[in-house]
Amino acid sequence: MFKPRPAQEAVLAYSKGTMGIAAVPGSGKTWTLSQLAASLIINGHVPDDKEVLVVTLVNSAVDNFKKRIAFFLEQQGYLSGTGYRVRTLHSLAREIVAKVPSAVGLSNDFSVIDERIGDSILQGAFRATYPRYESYVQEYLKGDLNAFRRKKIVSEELPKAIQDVMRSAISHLKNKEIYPSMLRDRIVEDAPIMVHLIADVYERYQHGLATRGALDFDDLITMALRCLNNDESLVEELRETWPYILEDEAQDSSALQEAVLRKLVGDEGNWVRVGDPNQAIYETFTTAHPRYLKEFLVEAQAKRSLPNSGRSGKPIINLANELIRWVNEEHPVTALRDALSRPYIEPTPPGDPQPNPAEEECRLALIFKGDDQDIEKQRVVKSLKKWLPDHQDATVAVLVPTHAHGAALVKIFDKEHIPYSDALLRLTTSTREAAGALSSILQHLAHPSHNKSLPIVYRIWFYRVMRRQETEENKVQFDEHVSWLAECLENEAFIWPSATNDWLEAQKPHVPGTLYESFAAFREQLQRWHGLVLLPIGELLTALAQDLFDEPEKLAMTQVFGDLLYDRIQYHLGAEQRILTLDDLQKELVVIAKDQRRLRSIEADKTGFDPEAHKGEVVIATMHGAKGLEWDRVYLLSLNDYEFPSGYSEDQFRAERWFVRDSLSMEAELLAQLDAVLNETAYEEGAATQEARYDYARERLRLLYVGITRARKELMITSSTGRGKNKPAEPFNALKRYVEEMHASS
Amino acid sequence: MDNRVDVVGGTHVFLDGPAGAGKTTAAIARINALIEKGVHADEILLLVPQRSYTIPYEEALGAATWYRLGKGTLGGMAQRMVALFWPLVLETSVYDFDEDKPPTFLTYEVAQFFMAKLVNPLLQQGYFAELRLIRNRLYSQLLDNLNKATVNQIPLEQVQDYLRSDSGTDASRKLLFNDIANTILAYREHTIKHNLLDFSLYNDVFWELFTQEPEVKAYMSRQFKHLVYDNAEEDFPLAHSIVGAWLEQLESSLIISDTDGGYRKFLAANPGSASDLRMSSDVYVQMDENRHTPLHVQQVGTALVESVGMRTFSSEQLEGSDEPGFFVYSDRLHHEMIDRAIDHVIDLVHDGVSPGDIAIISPFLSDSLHYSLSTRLERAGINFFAHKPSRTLKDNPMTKVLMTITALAHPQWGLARPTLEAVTHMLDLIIGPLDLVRATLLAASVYEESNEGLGLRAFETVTPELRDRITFVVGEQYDRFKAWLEAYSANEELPIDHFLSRIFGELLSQKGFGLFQDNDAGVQVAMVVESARKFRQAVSTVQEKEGESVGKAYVEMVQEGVVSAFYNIEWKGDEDAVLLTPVHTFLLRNRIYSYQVWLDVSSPSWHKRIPQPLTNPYILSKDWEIGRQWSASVEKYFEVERLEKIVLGLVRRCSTRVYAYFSELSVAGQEQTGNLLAALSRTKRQYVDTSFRFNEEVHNV
Repeated sequence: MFKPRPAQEAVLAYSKGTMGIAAVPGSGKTWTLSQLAASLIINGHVPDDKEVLVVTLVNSAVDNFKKRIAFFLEQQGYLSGTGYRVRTLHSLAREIVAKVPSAVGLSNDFSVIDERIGDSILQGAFRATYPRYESYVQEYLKGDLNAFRRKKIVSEELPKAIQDVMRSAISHLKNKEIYPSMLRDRIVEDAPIMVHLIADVYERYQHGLATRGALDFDDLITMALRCLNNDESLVEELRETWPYILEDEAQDSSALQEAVLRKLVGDEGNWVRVGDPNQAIYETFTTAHPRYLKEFLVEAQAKRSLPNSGRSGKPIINLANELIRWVNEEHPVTALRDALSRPYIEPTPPGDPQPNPAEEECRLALIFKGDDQDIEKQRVVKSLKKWLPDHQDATVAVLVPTHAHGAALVKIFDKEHIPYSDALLRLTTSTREAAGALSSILQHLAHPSHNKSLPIVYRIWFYRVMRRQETEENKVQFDEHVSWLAECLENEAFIWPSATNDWLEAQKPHVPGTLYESFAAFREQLQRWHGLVLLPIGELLTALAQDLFDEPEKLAMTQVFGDLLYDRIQYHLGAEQRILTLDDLQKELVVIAKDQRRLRSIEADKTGFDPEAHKGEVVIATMHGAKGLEWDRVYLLSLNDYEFPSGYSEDQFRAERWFVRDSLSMEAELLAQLDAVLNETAYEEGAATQEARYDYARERLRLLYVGITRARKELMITSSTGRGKNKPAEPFNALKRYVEEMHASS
Repeated sequence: MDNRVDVVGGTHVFLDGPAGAGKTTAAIARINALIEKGVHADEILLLVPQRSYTIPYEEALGAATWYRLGKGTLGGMAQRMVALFWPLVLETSVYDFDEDKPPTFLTYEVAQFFMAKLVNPLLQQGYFAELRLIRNRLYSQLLDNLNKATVNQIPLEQVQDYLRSDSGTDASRKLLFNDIANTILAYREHTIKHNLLDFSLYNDVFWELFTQEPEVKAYMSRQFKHLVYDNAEEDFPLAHSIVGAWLEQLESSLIISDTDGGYRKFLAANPGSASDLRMSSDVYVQMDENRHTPLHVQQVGTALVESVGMRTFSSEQLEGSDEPGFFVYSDRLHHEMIDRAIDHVIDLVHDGVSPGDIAIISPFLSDSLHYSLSTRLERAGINFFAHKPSRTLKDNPMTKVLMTITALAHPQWGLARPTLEAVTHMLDLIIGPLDLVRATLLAASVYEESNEGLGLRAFETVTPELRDRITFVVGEQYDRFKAWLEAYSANEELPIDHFLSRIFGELLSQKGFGLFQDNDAGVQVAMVVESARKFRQAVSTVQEKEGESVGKAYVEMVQEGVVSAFYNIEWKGDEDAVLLTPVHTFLLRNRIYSYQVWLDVSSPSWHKRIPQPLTNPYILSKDWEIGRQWSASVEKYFEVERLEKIVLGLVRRCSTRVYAYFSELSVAGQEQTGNLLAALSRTKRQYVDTSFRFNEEVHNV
């Protein structure tokens, strides 16, 4: 039976107005917020046909909330799904737009394009525009590049870098609700040439979206706000429908997102915002900023905190708090002292159902031996090899700054035979599995006579359609079946037997009954799938998905695939008068399965990962990917001044391309030029780069805080020289001194 | 009191009542009574909003009467009258038609073709720049504006003023409506100039004739002396105006309106203007007793309607009973919901219920849903048939195959060569004993994608090993097919509809071919042939001037995704089969079923209309006041009204029990929640364990 702590009780006593809650990592905010939602309904604060709206960041959190709220309400006689609604910000925006899509020039089946299509449209827009501006862009190159390098950069790396900037610029403009025509109006004659480039690309990009009847993610929020601003009665209707809005992970909100929620709440509404400004780690990828939550925490009618966390042992809590303190009081770069803020984490009170792990079970180490990043990884591997055998019932994670580091670790682990899971690292697991299964069946449908496809499709049927687990017993059975199936050289004799040529009947006397039945059922399934070949691709995939998947994210991805492939079909029909075949489409799916995806949709894809299900193996993840999760032992790697810069002029920053003069960040500078035009202010080269450095450094400090607070009992933080030129990061040094002093005094 | 006496005997009668009250039965009795009195059947006109409403009459009246009875829609009559009185039109119409050309009546598809030709250059000029809409929807919605304006008797010049009600403060919307106005006026000008009469134009012209040329009305009155106008509430205001103005010329009339109808509002149906016809009638009869729906279903249904929105009912009407009438089930996943629903259908059939007494109803019937339902029903050995409303021509499998055959047979048109895959699928469908695997082997062996001619080799050129696998029976049929195409290519090219008709008749429907004795396939081919014929007739004069092949233009139109004009769906189906149908199609079918299975009741599609950014059936209506602003609350009002009608309409067409199912997650894995589910939730708390059962297993009829 859930018994709230005093701080949680204070939150649960809420019944109206605005309330801001600062929650430390592991404080049980999801549980508290779910309880609050359920209580508001049960206690009659929410009339029968109204709902509590819970808004969160990622789909995995949506599932958590829904399960918890539904369970409690069902006990009280409510049908599940009534009295509350849980949405990510984007799905909420979609729902708002879907109420009156015609008001913003959309039909009701408007689609929100997958980012890959968005990238493809952007690429087309950019390529059509860039040649006119190429020579101006080259002014940003360093002067001392040799001719050969320069040629390569000019033809490959520079255009790619500028195209990436275009993506950020378009997102930036949409978040300011500036449309192409509005931007054009603001561009004066002597505006920087790069702003003209942005305007041209933006226009073409939007046109590309318009012909597809589609929105991108940024459009979604903008359109939602437009709908609300244009239609007061819609606002009234929604305020009435949702008299309470509870917002989780509010530190990741952007100005536009906050504007949408503020509009829904109104001046007199009920709004609870929970978040931890110290865990705002998505700034660089989005327009989110923790200052919006911080400001709300000041202005709210009620201010609460959830400071108690039972997740980590005291030494780790103290380390996290020390990081906050050092940043606030001693960081050598004063501009960064606001990167983290209080409250400090407090352990749970005595008698709490979630007591902190005992101090004697905890271990802290910060290690730097002057190694480069490869040797650093080897040390970690050595440490794990020693630790794992005695800790099969424990959970452990190695958290790295980037996917590239993670991929390198995977190779090493394979070589060293260390059991691991890279499910979080391969953040597209669901996508890849879904795309893989569907493309295999599509390939069979495209080439039904290829007998090599049969075992592959049989595997999918055996495990997915028949909902079998990959147990040893099933593997043995599957292998036996497949070895029989490999004997079938003529697919038609199996799938569509004739009176004189029936492969399965011919096998009957020789095979076990269960195998015969299995093959007979498989054949029936194949015949049904063969009947689908003439359906439109979206319907074909949906029909297949109903047979294959139970997981909601795979069903959702199937819809995305259908949209993607439909788009490809339309594109080829229009641009090349070519009709894509099933073979073409399955190849597209394979490419999708291998593609990297941007963080936003990656996060949307990462549903339901449970560290407890990976005991006895090492979870490899990026620090970003680890947010919200916890392990008994955590390794944090690469705490050097490249991955965690401090804003010094000699620091290197990822966003600053080596071939650009004066260490400028192209993105920061071009966005600053854009803002100067929009705001009619002066532009000063270099200022934006410096500010971007500080923003990045602040975010990395918060990332370190997130990394530290993933550990329950044991935390190993290592640094390296990178590829040989770097040194330990300032926070690493500070924390190392702290730990050494602690050990010395004890 | 037996109202039927008044219905049968009265001179000009207006009859209304809910579904199941016996209105059509009374109308049939009236027709029989007229015949008995000596009226000739061909002097009686049975007028309906769409042809499917005539089915109960066909079933009930004798063949002789049915054959001779006048019947049809107002649109059909308008077309006939305009064609008949064309010389008069040329003389007197305000429209400046070409005197040297006959009128060409356009189907909805062909109208889109001409709209596309007009719109495409305008898009280059920046028209509709802010719009995010797939191209063929742009054409169809522009046409919808024309049609709705006409049937609501709104001058085209005012369309923009009406549509502006939906612009809010958004400046780009106002620009959009300018574009719409200019486009539809340009389109009207173009069609007048070339005597191309689409639905809106020939109805406008007919109204002109009817109201200004007495001889037209006189002709119609000589032809028909008695009128039976059923389901008037599903017809549009123009039809009501014409009928209203005609009544005094008729010897008798019976106008029937379903009290809670108006399911075709998205097609401009107007129950309000139908009710106005009561003023022109001598006798008003109300039949308010629903004879089919049992009390325990009616009461829960009534409570559900009350929960949906605006109506209130007396406590008697809401009194519960212990007899279970509504069963509601929840599952997490969509396919779990389907499994459970089909399991219950199987249980019912095994308990002795005829499949023909069961209807499975969903907001939409997509291909994938149809697949999910049909595979399970097939596995259980239960007969079913599906009603699916219009979709794009190119999404219809039969159309794809016919277009492949057409492209193969006409290489001189310069169309893209069919892919190997398209030829494979074509062979699979058209050759009787062929399957997808053997079709792949065959196509790979005989088809030359790069060839500029027919590109099909003889079966004998296939290797002996493959011939064995493909089988000689298939090979024979293939060779026949090839020979037919070769013979065709050697002769003069036929018009596309003639070509399709001939190949179907001479080959594809013959024994050994895939469409042999396949009625469904025959119907689909007939629809494509009709579509192609109407296209050819309409387009050929224009195309001849431009030097393009009409057949090629048709194939290209299909590939562009033009909406199908096949609203005239074959209703009859199989009487002893479970019906699978979307909800609006079920309601328009207007028949009683013992058991109704409602799928996906958590989907918002139950109450949401299909909004279109370029048009709005509620705004482009004679009931809408110019200057009034469309808003979310207005949208909500109509959503509630729509859902009320749907629920009432369904409940009144159920004679035993309703099973309703929902899943937490949609077929796309997304959470969904809609007004119908919310209403069910409220109703559940009212009737729990009595007439409303939740997640309770049922094993008896």
